[in-house]
Order: sequence, then C-alpha cells, then structure tokens
Amino acid sequence: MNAIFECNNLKKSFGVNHALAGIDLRVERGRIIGLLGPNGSGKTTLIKLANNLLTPTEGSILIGGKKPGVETKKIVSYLPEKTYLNNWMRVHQIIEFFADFYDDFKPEKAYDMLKRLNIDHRDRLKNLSKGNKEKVQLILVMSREAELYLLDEPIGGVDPAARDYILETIISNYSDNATVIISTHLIADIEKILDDVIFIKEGKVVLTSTVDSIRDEKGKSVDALFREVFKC
Amino acid sequence: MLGKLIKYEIKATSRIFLPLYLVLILFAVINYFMALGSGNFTLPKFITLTLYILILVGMFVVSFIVMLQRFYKNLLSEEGYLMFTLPVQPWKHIICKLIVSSIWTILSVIIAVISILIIALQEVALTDIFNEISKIWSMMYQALGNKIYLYVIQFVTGAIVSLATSTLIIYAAMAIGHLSNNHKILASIGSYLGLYTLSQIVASIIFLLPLFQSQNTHYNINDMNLQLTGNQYANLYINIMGFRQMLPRFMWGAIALSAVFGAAYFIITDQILNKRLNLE
Ligand SMILES: Nc1ncnc2c1ncn2[C@@H]1O[C@H](COP(=O)(O)OP(=O)(O)OP(=O)(O)O)[C@@H](O)[C@H]1O
Ligand SMILES: [Mg+2]
Repeated sequence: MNAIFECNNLKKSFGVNHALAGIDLRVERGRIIGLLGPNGSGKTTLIKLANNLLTPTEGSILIGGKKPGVETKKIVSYLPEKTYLNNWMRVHQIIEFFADFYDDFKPEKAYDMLKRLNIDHRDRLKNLSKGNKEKVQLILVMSREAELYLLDEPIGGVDPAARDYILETIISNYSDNATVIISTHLIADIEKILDDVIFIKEGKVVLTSTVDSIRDEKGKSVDALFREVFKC
Repeated sequence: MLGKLIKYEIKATSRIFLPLYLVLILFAVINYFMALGSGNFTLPKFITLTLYILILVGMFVVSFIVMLQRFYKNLLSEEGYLMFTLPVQPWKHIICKLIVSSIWTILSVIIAVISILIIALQEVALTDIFNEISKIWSMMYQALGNKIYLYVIQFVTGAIVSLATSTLIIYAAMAIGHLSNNHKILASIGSYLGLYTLSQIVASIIFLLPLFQSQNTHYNINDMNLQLTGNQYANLYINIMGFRQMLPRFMWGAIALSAVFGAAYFIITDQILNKRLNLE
C-alpha cells in the first residue's frame, strides 16, 4: 500500500522567508507521529500545505498518492491551530454541518465526547470559553473515521484533566489503518502515545525516528532529546 | 454539495435579513396608520416617515455589506479554515455566495416595493394602483407591440447579469487583495479600482470602435456635399428606424459583454482560491 503522506523536496516561501526549505518525508499508515520543532520552524505551514490551504512553491505533497484536493479532503481530518467556529451556530448545529459534508462523520461519537467533557450541545459557539472552543473543534475532528488526522497543537488551551481524556480518545478512536500527525510543544504530555517523531527546524527535517529507538538507543525521553537538539 | 452549501449560507444570512424585512414592513404599516389619522403633516408623522426611509436605505446598505462580509469573513478569514477543508470544489463556494447574495438583493427590492405600496395605500386604493399599472402597460403595448415582451425580458436579464457581474468583480478584488501578506483590505480596494478601470477601458474600446467606423462614413457624406432628395430623406428616416431596430441588439451586446466580464472575474477568483489560497 502507498504511503499515506509523502513530501518530495517540498518548498514554501513567503516572499523572502523560506518557511519550508525542501522537505522529504514518507509517513506510513497506522502510526501516531509527533511533528516537533521550535516556533516558526514550519510545522503549521506543512500541515496547511497538506490541506490545500497553501500551495507549494516547489516540490510536491501527496496524500494517499494524490495531490491535495477534494478527494484528499474526504480522507483527511484536520484540526487547525485557529478557531474557525462561526458566531451564529450552536454546538449541535455544527455537528449537523459536519455530518452533512463528511460521509465518515459519526455524530454519536461527537455527542458522547461532548457529554464526557461537559459541553452542552445547545450552547452557542460564540459563548464557549476558549478552551471549550478548542475541545469542540477537536471533537469534530476526532468524530470522523478518517485515514489521516492532522492535528495542529490540539491540546494547547485545554486543561490537564481534559488533556488526558483527549489523548485517550485519540488513541482509542482511530482505526489501525489510520495515521495521526500531531504538531505540539507539549511533548512530555503526548510522548507516551507517539510511535514516531519528526523534528523540523528552519523548514528542514533534522531527525526522524521511532520513539522506542530514542528511548532504547539514546536512553532519553523525546522531551529531553528535543531540548538538547533545539537548545537555544 | 452546492445545495448543502446554499442551505447553510441561507441559514447564516437569513437571521440578518428576515428581521430587517419585518421591521421595514412594520414601519410601512405604522406610516400607513399615522397618515390615516389627521390630515396635517405633524412631527410624529415626520419622524416615522424619516425612520422608514432610513430603514429602507439601511436595508440596501446591509445587503451590500453582508455580500462583502460573507465572502471575506467566511472564506478568506479564519472561517475559511473550515470552509476550504470541506470536500468541495472552490468554485461551488463562489457560486453559492453569489446566488445567495443575489437572492437577498432581489428580495430586498421586492420588499421595498411592497412597503412603498403599503404607504401609498393611504392615498389610493390598491385596485387603483393596479389599474394604473395596467393602463401604462397597455399604452406601452400599443406603442411597441409584441416587442414589449422582448424589452421586459431584456430588462430582467440585464438587471440580473449586471447584479452578478458587479458582485463578481468585488469577489475577484477581494481574492486578489488577500494575496497581499500585510495590507489585504487596502490591496482589495486597489484591485477593485484596477479591475474596474481596466474593464471600462476594454468596454469603451469594444463599443466605440464600430462607432468611429460609422462616423467616418458620415464625414464622407458631408465631404461630398450631398443634396438630399426627398427619397434620400426617406432613406435617412429608415436608417433612424433601423437604429431603433438596432437598439435591442445593442442592448443584448451590452448584456453579453457584461456577462463576459462576469465570467472573467469568476475565473480570476476561482484560480486564486484553487491555486493561490493564502489563509492567515
Ligand atoms: N501567511 C504567511 N505569510 C508570511 N509568512 C508566513 C505565513 N505563515 C507562516 N509564515 C512564516 O513561515 C515560517 C513558519 O511558520 P509556521 O507557522 O509554519 O511555524 P510553526 O512551526 O507552526 O510555529 P509555531 O510553533 O509557532 O506554531 C515563520 O517564519 C512564519 O513567519
Ligand atoms: Mg504552528
């Protein structure tokens, strides 16, 4: 089977700023991957390119062998770092919206998670607290049965208790064949669920490795290795 | 998918327009009853009439602002992350926004006419108004014959096409403007002025060219110092009649040109949303 996510010499520049300076990557199915790097290293840019929200300056990006487009959007579940919730819907209305547009969306799952996280489905989106907005977006994304999940800083604004529950749902919700790519700075929190890590710096991949080999061969946690590699 | 997009677009905008229509009709009814009272033009009458006019004007201002805001906010700002992640081709987003905003503009015109009729009712009966309209219609029918249907069709087509084109030029300007990294709004306004000027120049060239050609032949006739005989006068008259014959054709030409511009703006917008999306 082909790789679920593949980049070949992928470059993206904003004027003179080379946000991605030639990325080569191959991500297999059925993995949970941490996309790690300091601020401004290009994580968000890479994920946006995968969703066709930006267009490569050079090189290519392929999702399940296809260029980002309508077909790949059907199989990618994307959590942006931005809050995109509009100000007029209620929680249950945005659930209906997702169910309307995504064939793989499971409303039961969404209502279940809302209940666990104590969010009322009748609340207006604009009245939710910042953390609860993030939770709603994450619930929407995790209620799809997608082939690739791209999560850009999924737990940044969420309290630690909810974080554990969310990580649990990420692991339990996705099927064996699905891949999850998580970009985050909360490495210590998520490293226990990661299979692999990708370190990027100034738009280049500096390290790809399984978490096991970091622990076994280097005898370090991912968090410690990150602090060492990216020491300021 | 287009149907679903339109459904949500109507949901998102109807909560602005429906109350507005209700308030406008309400104020028309209030004006109607105020006028029924005493015959004099009193201060309360003045105030309710002024408020009605403000709401009427406000309704069209709101239609315009909502048209801008739905495209900019829902597609080119944060909400764009949601909309462009949906498995939907970008052109469907453009068409959806265009259709729904046009529906509201047309509805606003209809509601405005109804509200004016309500106020007019204090002076004349509804049947009088309809009588008057049918009188005008039959007068025009006498003058123009069956062609009147052609003119009506032409007028309606022209109105719809120019509404669509003037919306699409704004979409194109916003799409071009959003390519700028720092001054999106300023760049959008600049793009609008640029597109508008360019279109005017192209339209002028296309329309003036045949005119210059016919003017040349006109000069030739003068140079030759032709004495017009009675017969030639008749010919000239026929030519003027011919121009009247030409008028619908000229109008269709103008509508077609407007449609071509609209298509060009649509293609520009679609290309940018497809290949150059630059969401912050
Ligand atoms: N729309 C844009 N216009 C111009 N420059 C941009 C744009 N988006 C990102 N950049 C630049 O690209 C580089 C990479 O940014 P990106 O957001 O991908 O980093 P990141 O790894 O996600 O950082 P963080 O951890 O802070 O979220 C940065 O230098 C940023 O300034
Ligand atoms: Mg980022």
